[in-house]
Amino acid sequence: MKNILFTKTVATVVSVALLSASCSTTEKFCIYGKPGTEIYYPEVSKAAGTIPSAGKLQLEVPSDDFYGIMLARYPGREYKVPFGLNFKGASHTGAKIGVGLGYTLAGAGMVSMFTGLIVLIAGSAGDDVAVMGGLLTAGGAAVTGVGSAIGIPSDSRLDQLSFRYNYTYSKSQFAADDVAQVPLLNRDPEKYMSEATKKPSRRKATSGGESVPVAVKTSKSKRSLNDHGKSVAGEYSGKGVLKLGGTTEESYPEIMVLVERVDKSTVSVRVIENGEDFFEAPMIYNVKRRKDGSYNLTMRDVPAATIVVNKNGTMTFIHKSVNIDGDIYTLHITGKR
Amino acid sequence: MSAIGEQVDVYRFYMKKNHLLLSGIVSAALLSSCGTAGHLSINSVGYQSVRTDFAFPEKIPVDAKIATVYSFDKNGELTVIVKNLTQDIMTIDNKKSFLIMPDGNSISYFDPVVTANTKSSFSSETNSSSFNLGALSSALGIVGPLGSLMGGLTIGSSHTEGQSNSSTVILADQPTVSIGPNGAGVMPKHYSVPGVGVGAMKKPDISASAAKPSESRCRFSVCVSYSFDNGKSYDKLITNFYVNTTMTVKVDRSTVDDGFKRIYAAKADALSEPCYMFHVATNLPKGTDTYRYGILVDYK
Repeated sequence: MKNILFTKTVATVVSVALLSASCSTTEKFCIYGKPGTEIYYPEVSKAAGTIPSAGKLQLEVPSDDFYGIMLARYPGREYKVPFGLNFKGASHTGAKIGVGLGYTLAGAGMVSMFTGLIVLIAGSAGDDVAVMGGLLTAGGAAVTGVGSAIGIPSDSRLDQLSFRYNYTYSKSQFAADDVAQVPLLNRDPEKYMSEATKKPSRRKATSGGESVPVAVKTSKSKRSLNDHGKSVAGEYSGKGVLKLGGTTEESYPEIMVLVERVDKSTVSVRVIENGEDFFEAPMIYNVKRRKDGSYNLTMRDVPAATIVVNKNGTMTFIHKSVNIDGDIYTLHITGKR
Repeated sequence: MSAIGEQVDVYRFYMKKNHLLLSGIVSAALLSSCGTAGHLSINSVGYQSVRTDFAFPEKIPVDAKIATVYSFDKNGELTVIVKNLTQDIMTIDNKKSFLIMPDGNSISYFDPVVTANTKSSFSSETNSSSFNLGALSSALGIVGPLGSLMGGLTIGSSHTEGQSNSSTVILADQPTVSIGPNGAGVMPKHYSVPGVGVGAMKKPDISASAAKPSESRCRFSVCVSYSFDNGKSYDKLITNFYVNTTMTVKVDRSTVDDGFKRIYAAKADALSEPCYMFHVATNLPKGTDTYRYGILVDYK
């Protein structure tokens, strides 16, 4: 009888322990961090919790899920900082024993139960054989019940993700440091700039190999009696080509030359291609009127750059010293005001 | 009494058998628990940011006629939302709307061969007349942090606490479709962009950052053709994208947090990017291993 009592006690304790372990469907861990920090699951807008003054927040997550990332929002911050969770291996031996033990108990119980049933049927009502059969049946049913109660939940739990892949969360996790939201280090141009800059990869050309504004090297003529600057000022639209050693490198079906008056005999010239300034800086030209009524525009320090504006408003722009990335090109534009 | 004694003996016999069985099972279970099949493996932590070739607009101009919102899921699948900012009917020509892939190939948004992949619906309130980015987010059912939009298609789920609306339009998979005044719709197909998403974060590399679009390893574009005169003439909104940063840090399952710290150390402005994702690469068939934040916006 002592043996039976002992076995029953052990079975009960083991069953309760395994049942308890088997019914747990969550994983627990603590997140350490600055008090007041809110912790979020990704893609869930509601905070999972706030780290209390003790600096430690306990969380439970489903065993059948995996959270590799969580977010921390520090007090006073508007943004969340993603941080990673650490893991360790877990064999989950208890649940595995529970499955084996439970199903075996259930199997053994069923064997006892069916044996008892046969004995019960074989005996006559009230005789010892029938009583023994009844005891075996009842005992077998009880053991089957206990075994199933242990085995089925354990089996169910073994099907959960953390059990199938033998992992659990490290008990101590640490919220990310208070990562500052540093402004973008390489910010793209604003949209209106981007629209105007369809060829951002090309570097700006310089005129005559000079990178300083030409304006500082010009001298204004005071002898002009007519306002030639005003006469030639305007927008000239046309087409152009960029040549290197006689070979056309680029063609511009739409290009614009902007001529702005500086004074009576001086103008500022910009070339706009695809919405972008072709040259680094506006170029300063001197304006002289020819006998035929046309105007000749020249750059003081760059004799290879000339512009002719005819009476009918047509323009011929030639610049033979366009410096692009160290190579000297010729830019030829014809247009009309 | 002798009969009861015999019964007890029989019962003891069975209990002894059970003892033996019990011992056998426990041993077997203990042995089986030592097996190594199916262990969690974590290989790396990845980070990727995608940009348009212009700065994220703080505000959409009041005279803009069309706005587009772009989001990527973890596999680089691009969702395009088109917003009609006018009081006129907008016609979208799906035949003339394309995704231009990084390799230069383009895919039409109306291709009968490609099966429409409209996973879910989400919503838009279409009555905003004055417009800024906040209004756009609101109008498209994007509430709370912009990160909620990521994947856009999850908006209708409980993950966002049911804060989305219910009048969503997913544009029909037809050659041309229309969007009503101040309405919005989702382009009918969601194509994956090679080079975007977790597939691009497999190779450990901490220095894969592009300062300019021209330096990017992955550039692509979306062209939306739209009309306000019932299809007589079409205009185009072309948005150019580039992958600004792709970083992958090798970790194991006990140093996942360290992977994030190394990414923050290598890219101080990681959290300022308008559209980015973090990914923890595991061998698990499911789980929350990716965090996606932000959207990209264009207008004309």
